[in-house]
Amino acid sequence: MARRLKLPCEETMKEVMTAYYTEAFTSDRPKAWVTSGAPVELLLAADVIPIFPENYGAMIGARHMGGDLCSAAGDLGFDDCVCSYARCTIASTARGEGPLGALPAPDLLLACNNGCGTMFKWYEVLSRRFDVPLLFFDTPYCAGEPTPQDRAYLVRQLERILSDLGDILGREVDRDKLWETLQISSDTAKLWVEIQELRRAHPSPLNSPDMFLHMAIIVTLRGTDTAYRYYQDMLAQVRERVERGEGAVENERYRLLWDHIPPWYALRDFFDFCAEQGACFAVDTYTNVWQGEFDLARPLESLAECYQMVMPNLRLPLRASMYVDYIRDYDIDGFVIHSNHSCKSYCLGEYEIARRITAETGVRGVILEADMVDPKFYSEAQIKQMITAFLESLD
Amino acid sequence: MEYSEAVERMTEIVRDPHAPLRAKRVGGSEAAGYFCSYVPVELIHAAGFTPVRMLLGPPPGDAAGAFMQPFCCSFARSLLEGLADGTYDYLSAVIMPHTCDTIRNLSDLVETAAPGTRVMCLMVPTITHTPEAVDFMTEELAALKIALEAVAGRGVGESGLRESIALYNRCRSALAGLREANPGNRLLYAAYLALQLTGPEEFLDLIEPLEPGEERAGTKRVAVVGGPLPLLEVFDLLEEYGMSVVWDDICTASRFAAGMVGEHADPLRALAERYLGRRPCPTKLDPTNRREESLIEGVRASGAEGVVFAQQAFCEFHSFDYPGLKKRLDAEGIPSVRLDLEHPFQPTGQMKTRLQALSEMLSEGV
Ligand code: SF4
Ligand code: SF4
Repeated sequence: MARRLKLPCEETMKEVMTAYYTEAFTSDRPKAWVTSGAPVELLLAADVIPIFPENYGAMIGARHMGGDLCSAAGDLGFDDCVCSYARCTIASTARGEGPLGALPAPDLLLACNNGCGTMFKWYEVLSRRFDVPLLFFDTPYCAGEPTPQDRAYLVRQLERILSDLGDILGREVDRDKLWETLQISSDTAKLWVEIQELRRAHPSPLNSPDMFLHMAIIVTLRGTDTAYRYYQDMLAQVRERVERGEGAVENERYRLLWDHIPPWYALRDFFDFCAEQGACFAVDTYTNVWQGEFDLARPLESLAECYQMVMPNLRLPLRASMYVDYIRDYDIDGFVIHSNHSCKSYCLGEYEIARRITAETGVRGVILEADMVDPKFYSEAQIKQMITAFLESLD
Repeated sequence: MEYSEAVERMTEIVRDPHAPLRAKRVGGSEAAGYFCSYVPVELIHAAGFTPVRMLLGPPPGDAAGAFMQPFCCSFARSLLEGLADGTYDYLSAVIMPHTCDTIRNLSDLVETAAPGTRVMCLMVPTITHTPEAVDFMTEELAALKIALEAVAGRGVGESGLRESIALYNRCRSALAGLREANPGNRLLYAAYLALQLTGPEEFLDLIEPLEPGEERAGTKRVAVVGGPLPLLEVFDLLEEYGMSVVWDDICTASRFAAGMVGEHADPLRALAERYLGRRPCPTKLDPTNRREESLIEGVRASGAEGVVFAQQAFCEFHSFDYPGLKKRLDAEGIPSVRLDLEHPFQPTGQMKTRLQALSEMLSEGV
């Protein structure tokens, strides 16, 4: 068995996440279900508890409940081409099943389509099921700099969301508190980026499965002091690791890039298998999505920009060049792309991105066909065979 | 013109839209392709291009397979195949709107899969009901107009745009009249498609002289719900089971044709308002559940007794809407079946069984 080196802050992580879910389940404060790429800062400033079904989907996957819940979604009429985060959480709600039962019912919903169009379809289903309002932030696909019409459209939407939020809650959203929240969120994202950059070290202090674990806080609690303090500690601990020359994977032999959400149900199994062969995923595209610093001199404009310009919402040439930069900056020997059956938005274009990476850097990769939550698309033997052959080819 | 002749000529356009457009190009008349019913044909026409809806390429093969996962709908894969293999080589530009995640990514892939294709992106907002969305769409149309003008080498004047708007409004009225006349599945749906595959002038030459034929009697009345449905074989298949389509929510049929563009307002804004104001397709936010309400209203008003869902296999957006629509139909006591379509179209045993079962539940209409 490959050993996974734990950071001391992992203990705090458990406490933080337990406290977060306990509050979400027990508090009387209004609750909103929110997509991972939506401007959660608006909710925090409005004193609303944000709940992230995607995070819950990952938990469902990791606890091996995805197969059952996805097939239960099939019984509700949702076929396999629907994102498995949506399928498993819709079924979890309908059946009252999940790692913590069904998530607490929302008072409102906030969705953004910067990750995919799936988000608003999923949230429409939720909005009808719970009969609660859906606030939606529409972020046009982006070729680089936002166009003047993008900017106007985005900022006017944010103003509308703030005013709708005020109407729903019966009190105005405190703008000062919003700016404060943006500041904390921005500072926290900066820490997260610094941690990511430390992964450039040889050996890399963190493997992607570590990041999949530690990202839970930036997804659910960015914009809070708790998150800021957590990543301050984590940064210091990772720095120490780098100073000690300690690698996340014993005898790091291959430095790889991981693309996309992992197959949660096979997380340990797959990444341990790679680690046993000396493969460390020193960078991944997925956990790098949570970036973005706000300019408090023009808060709403910069909030709009940051949320529009996240990786999956950028046109393909920009996305491809980000991958190429990762390969160079993290001194990567090979890449592994998860062609995730659930997620057309993030996956379509991967074949072409793979060709572009190899053409520009000479680095090769493999593409694994699977799904993040629904295990029926995952063929363990075949995938392990592919990985072994691929790693051998890197020698 | 007799119905039978019209059916033949329109079917011919649907069967091979490309040959006449290539011939026109030789004669100096250019065409521009577009991907979905949110792209205003009026603007393309006013810029001097024949607007051609890109409905169906060859069955997806190696070219599509090199760029797209098999879990994308075959409609999108087929179009990429067609762009790569030269089926669409006569187009001066291809206008790709922001609709679903598949098409959004496809706009980037086309440039590599079919080098030399001039792609113009149109960011159609996902929200359609707010003033800021209409303003955004108007600005996007203004940007598209500039891009089209650059290719055409000439400006689009306001009066020219108004003329194109009036022309297409006339086509839409003609289609509404044809629908009223209940001419049978094939003619009606060939006519909808023909308007998207040929110039409006040619279309009016075909449809306006049409003598009202005999109304079809004794068939079972159904509504059809789906995305792009360029396959006349599907409508023929329904007819084999005695079903006449009396109402639809299909993006290559009434969602394309319904709703006039205002002829008196600022034309770009009038276009934005008409295109966003229609009954939404599943790729647009639908906060008041208009799709479901209009389905029930449409079924009631048209006297349809059953519903056929005919959607592309692997279309996530339609698949999200299906359970809600189905549940509502069940609650209203309206029977329905679902067909998942792939290109090339092969009516499977399961489809036939489903249609047979539905057909048996419907009464012979009048
Ligand atoms: S489609 Fe992809 S980006 Fe969208 S919710 Fe599902 S996994 Fe996330
Ligand atoms: S059929 Fe569905 S998946 Fe295919 S292009 Fe249309 S909306 Fe997209």
